[in-house]
Amino acid sequence: MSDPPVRLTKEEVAEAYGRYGHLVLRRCSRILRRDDAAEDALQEVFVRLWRYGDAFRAAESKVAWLYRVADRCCFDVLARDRTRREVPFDETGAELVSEGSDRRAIEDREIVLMFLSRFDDRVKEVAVLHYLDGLTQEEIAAATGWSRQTVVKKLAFLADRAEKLRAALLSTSGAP
Amino acid sequence: MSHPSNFILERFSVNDLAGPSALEVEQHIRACDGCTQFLAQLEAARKARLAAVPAAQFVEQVSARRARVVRLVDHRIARLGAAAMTVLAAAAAILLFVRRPDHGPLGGVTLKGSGVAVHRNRGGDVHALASDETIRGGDALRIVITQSRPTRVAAWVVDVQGRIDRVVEEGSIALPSGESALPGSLVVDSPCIDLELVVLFGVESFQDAERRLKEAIPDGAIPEGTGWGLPGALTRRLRCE
Repeated sequence: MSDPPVRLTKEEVAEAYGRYGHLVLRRCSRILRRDDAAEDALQEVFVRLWRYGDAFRAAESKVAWLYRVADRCCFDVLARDRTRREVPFDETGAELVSEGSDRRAIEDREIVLMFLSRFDDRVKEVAVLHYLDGLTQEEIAAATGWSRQTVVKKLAFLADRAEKLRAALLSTSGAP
Repeated sequence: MSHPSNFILERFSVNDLAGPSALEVEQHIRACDGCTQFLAQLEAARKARLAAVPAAQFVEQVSARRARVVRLVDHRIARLGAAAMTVLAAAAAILLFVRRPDHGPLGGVTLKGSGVAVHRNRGGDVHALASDETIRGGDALRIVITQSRPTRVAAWVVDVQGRIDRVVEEGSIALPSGESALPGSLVVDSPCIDLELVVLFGVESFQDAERRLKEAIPDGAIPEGTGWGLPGALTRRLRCE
């Protein structure tokens, strides 16, 4: 019979926050693009850290464990936001497309992250690992447990969507 | 080596890389202004964050959030109005009584009118969960108890990894006869994992009941139907999508 899981103490949570909190917040900010939402997600990540402390302790990479949880929390926020309100192109693209913008100025990464909520969770995960973490196809396959072929397909899908979204943004803004 | 990925640099910055990888990254950084600058930015962000929200303050915020989640969901469900909740509870109780043999652990044991219904709130859509319906991350669940006489009731959720959480923070609660919702609601974590709801009626010693429940959970698996060590308890499996 195994003992029930042991949760982290307040001191351990404080120590984890002191060491990793800024990284988790940074990640949440980049996924959610809203400071208040990122702050909220950071707290949620640490609520789960508190609850699943034994899994955190056992994790080979604490950062990877926290990032996985952060991604889930952020995807939930994105899903809830999307349920509440579908943001139109011209509104979400305003900060990307300014006067004088050209196609190349809008990086795939910015577009994909801007419209992350439009993708399903598996695609979101690949997008975050590729565009935020800078992982290669092989590394993404290893991190997710999916085949490299699946990862390649999803990255191709993301690149295609980014191109279409870019075109739509530019046509909305009237840029050449 | 080529530039390490942001992920690797972030891990390196907090000593989260194992020996050989860390050495390799360290050697690269010595000769790379861009990566050195990136690490300096991370360290500056760490200091700024801790200055803005010190660890002790953050832990208090998180601690308060753990308790607040329950109450926030409560208020949301309460807005539906007492009448709607009563109708839902009645419908759920009927469903439960009809379907009890499918998911109760006690088979032919007569439970003398005790029942458990689970109400699921998903994006504002609240209804009693049928036995073939599922849960997912972010769902708020409220537990409605039906009993024929006043007793103390305790409830737990057990996940497939054997973790046990109390539904009632204080342990057990005295409830009147008829239908009563347990205080607070459960918010399903994401990613969702299957849960087993265990409700014990007529609790005399909560500590003893919880101890027996913990002893009844086998390693890494929820027992199917029996073996909970709590005679008279009702269980209900909550499956993820």
